[in-house]
Amino acid sequence: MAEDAQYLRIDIAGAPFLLASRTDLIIEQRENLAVDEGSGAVRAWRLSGLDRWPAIGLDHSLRPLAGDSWRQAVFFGFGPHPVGLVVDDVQILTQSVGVERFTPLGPAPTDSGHLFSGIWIRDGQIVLRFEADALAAFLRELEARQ
Amino acid sequence: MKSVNLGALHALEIPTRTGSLLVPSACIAEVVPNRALAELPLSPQWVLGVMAWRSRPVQVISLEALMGGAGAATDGVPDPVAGRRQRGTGKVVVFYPLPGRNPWEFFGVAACSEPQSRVVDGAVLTGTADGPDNSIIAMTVRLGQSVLSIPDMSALSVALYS
Repeated sequence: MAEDAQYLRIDIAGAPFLLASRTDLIIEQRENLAVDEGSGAVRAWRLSGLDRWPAIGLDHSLRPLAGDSWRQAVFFGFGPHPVGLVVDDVQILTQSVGVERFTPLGPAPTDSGHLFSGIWIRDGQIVLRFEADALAAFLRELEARQ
Repeated sequence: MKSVNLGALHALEIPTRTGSLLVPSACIAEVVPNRALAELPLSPQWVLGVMAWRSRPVQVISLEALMGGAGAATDGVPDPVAGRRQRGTGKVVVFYPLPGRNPWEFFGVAACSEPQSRVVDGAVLTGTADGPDNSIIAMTVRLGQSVLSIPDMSALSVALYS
């Protein structure tokens, strides 16, 4: 049973994922961000007035990564502030993508639930669709640990 | 020792590294070759990955890892570059969704070799204490020379989805 929607395809450390297109998404180029040279999960900050929004670095297994190959960041989620994810690449998919509903097995890794709620199967390749609210909660937990 | 008369039952013996399961064939959608599995990040160790099956995503689990057994349950090995598991030599037994679950929630169980069809025709299976002591096993029986564990599907559902 597939669901049609508009998506961003984001590449994280070589692995593709989908994020549903939504009104609170902001894509920022690396050169417009303040890179964080620390050893924590936050790889960059987007300065916004007196506020700053963190962008977290992850590997393909969604473990914190201190890699430096990212080129963009995707910010989303509200309150207390948007949170971001640094990525190798972002593509706005213009064609309709049929995503199959999907319930990950095992306990949810965040208080907001599972990180994935759908899968796009394209030519036999599995592409996981993020559940944006759970992903935002997960990224905030990583930021808080820093 | 508990005994149960199953009447004529078509079942599948699913070999795993720590023992064999006996599952009614009616629970099984298909047996497919082990294939490359996509990693499911942040999943429990007993979730081996996700495969595409009939254009659906199917998560593949290691029952022995779910039961607390040691080690990997599949011939597939992680690919450190792409985060994928490579093709192994075993099989994946695709189960229909468990009772009470959504109709798209098929799941796969990794088998270490080819599952075998069994017809338990009027046989009386006798329980044995030789099998694993685990809440997802309803009972362990002896069929010929084989010791087979029969999963408790309700307990399995609780273990998989909570």
